[in-house]
Amino acid sequence: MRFLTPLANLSTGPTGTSARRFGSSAAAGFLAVALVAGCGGDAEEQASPTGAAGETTSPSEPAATDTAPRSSAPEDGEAAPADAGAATQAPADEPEDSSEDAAVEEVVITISDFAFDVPETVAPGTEVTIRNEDRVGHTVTSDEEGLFDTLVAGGTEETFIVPEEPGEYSFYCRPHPNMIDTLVIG
Amino acid sequence: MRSVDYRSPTSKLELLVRALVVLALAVDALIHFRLAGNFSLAVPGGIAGGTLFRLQAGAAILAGIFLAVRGSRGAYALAGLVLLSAFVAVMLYRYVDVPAIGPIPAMYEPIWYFEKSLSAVATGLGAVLAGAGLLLQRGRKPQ
Ligand SMILES: [Cu+2]
Repeated sequence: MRFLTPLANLSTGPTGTSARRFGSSAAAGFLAVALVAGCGGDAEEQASPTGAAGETTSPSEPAATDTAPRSSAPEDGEAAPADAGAATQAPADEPEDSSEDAAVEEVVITISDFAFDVPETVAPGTEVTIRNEDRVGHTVTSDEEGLFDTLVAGGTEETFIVPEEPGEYSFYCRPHPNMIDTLVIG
Repeated sequence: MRSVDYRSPTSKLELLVRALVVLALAVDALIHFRLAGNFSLAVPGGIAGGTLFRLQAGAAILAGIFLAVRGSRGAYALAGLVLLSAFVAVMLYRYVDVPAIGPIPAMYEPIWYFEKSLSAVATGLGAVLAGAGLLLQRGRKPQ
């Protein structure tokens, strides 16, 4: 069945390329998911911050009190009802966390000589860097449509957010369907 | 060579060869069209890889139609050239890391996968059969 996969993606050439523009509207993203696998990355990208917003307030609290009084004020008033809308505005604190991010070890999927090198396990929701050491472009595309699909041009790197749900996610490269590997989330 | 004109201009063998070459061209075109979009992801530079694939596919379709309706030596020669160019390209870029040449991007891809293998086999055999068809038709007047 592997060789049939490119057929499903036949129409995603241009779409897949534009999948890197994460700015596209959520509506368009979800609509596209129904049609083509190529846009799955978009929807995932936009869905996960919203879903996780409720639980991620605590790490940013200390920073908020010091430097971002504007974000601490609404927290008291609208914390309960504003799960999706206001909570996603919290990333105002993100610059403060950059020192923490730097301390965290970078998780990298390396592509070289048309093969993936994947860490044994990756924590749920981690931002993973894909480093492409080949001269041609590759993609990291989930077998299950729409989970992730990131294009990495030759000699560059990109990042993507791995799924929140633990498990084994097989993936492949769209231009080279025999490039396959498995991402273990846990 | 005119004596060959006694033979039916379209022998059964020639028709079989012609059908197989047309089939090879059809496989060539289909695979190149199918892979074009994804190949542009891998090779976006110069004339994007996908554009080269579509050119190959378009040439294969034209050559296939020409051969199917005419069966002339010229049609066999064109079919053979189209198939040979595809075969040489796929083998070259499978085994040799050719740098970008002018507008032709670097397309080194040291792997096989089903469609690529099928394309290589079809175009290789098709090119040989086109040569055979050319020989079968050598007695016919060029039109
Ligand atoms: Cu690849």
